[in-house]
Amino acid sequence: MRLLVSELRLRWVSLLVWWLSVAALVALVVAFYPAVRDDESLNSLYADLSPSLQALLGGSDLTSPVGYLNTQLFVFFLPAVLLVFGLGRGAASIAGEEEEHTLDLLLAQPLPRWSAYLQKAAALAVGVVVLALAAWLVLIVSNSPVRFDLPVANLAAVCVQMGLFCLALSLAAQAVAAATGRRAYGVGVVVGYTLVSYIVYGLATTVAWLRHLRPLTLWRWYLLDEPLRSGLSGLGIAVLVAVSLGCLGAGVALFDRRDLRA
Amino acid sequence: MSSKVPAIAARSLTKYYGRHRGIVDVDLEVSPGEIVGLVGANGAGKTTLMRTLLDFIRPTGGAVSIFGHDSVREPVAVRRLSTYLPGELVVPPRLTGHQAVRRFAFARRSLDPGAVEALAERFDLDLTRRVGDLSKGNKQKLGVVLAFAPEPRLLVLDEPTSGLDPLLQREFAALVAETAAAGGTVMLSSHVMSEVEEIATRVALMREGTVAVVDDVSAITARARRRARVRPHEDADLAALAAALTRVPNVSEVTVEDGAVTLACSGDMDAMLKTVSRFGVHALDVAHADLEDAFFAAYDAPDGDGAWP
Repeated sequence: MRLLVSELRLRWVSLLVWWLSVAALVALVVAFYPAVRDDESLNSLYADLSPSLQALLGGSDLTSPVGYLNTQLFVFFLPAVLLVFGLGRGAASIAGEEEEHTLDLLLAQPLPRWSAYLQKAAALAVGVVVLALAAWLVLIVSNSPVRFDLPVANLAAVCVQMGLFCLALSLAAQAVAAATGRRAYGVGVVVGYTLVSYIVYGLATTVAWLRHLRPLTLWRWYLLDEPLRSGLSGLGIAVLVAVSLGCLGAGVALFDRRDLRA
Repeated sequence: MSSKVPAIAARSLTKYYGRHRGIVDVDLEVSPGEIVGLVGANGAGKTTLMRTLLDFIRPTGGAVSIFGHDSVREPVAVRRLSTYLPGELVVPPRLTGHQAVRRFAFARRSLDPGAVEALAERFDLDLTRRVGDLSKGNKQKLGVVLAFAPEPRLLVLDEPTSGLDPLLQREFAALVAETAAAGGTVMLSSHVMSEVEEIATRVALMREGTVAVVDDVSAITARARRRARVRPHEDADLAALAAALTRVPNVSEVTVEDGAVTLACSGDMDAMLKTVSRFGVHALDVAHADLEDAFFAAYDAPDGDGAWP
């Protein structure tokens, strides 16, 4: 536990800045809703787009609360922001220390490698959860003022699933980086996967053969059953948790059996 | 644990990085309380050997145990008893000295804050300053504090004195000696032989991944070659002196120049001195015998198994 405390102590200022930025971004998007709400022309603009493009943009309905929040925040923008944080932190957690030559001093202590890995993963999880919480807090505070009037539980559901989605990918970045000792590999591999899978997820609405690949995209499990409309998806959460645990296990195993670079 | 358990016991310890050689068949036993200096050129395997002890690197052959704990099977037990100072010490620049101690010693329950303060004071290090604002020497002092403050039974120090000025090197040598006197074991590396000579009680010379020679510092210096320059009285026969010196078994490289004879004498000097004194000595200069000489001799030894000239 002490490494977790040390990690949080080392980075709480940066996390606070991230927290405020995410809250401000969400507040900004929310603040524009009253202006968009009554503008039907926006919907007709989206309606002319192909279904794939609509899917990539998060739907065709821009003026309803669910449609607005999906297109403007949850289907791409907000998870992308959280991933900038999560992938960077994840890849840096072991490999960054190794590249900066501070890992030797840290691991010269009586601390098993697996424990160091897991405590750093826990610090990463705290960060992602705190940022998802920022989004949720802004949404429940603004819920009635801008007349979203969405169930608080549904707002929580989408934030939970988005948080798990970002955590799973961040843990994947940590695993790849820790297994190779290179931060860039962790970021590169996971960013590549995330973008390709996003396109696959969007195009699968119109391209028939891509539909079979859809389960391979984490986007599918994050947005399963439209959490903003229908609440938590047990299956979606189960898959995201399973992927997170898989990444943790693989990362620990691979990190534990290799030589550390001086 | 019985004191007979060696602090370090390496048996056929071997590490290849793919096809690159790290260390090969290193056999080395270090008793508690010893100060062992690892000396060798860059790439001789000093850092590989040290990092293998702490399980940063997994051997590809053989094994090493620290106070009876295998480095691979019980790394946490090993690291509970040891501290490590990396050759290239890097501490995040935004941390203060105090924060660095917290960051890199949080898992050491034995750490006494008083010991940290005492060491910092002894080395005149301000722990409230940010590491990024410290000079290289002061950063190295912080490394010394991190390594010594937990009072471990084994200290593995990779080039600990690089960056310390001569005064602090002496203070460091004193600290190592005190640590050893209190029962601590120290392994330190350097490519500056004179540092090791001053600090260590035993020296292991590493060459191309192997430990070529291990011996006590006193024995090495005793056997080391001393260069001497003899200027006899003016009426002395230089050629006869040279010839007489050449017949002394442990004298070599006898040459005559500028009215003086230069020579190299390994080990006991008595026979050489008695020979010289028969011719009447005007002046005699003997160079300080350092390990460097001894080691170059070891490098030159044809069988390479530790035979000294």
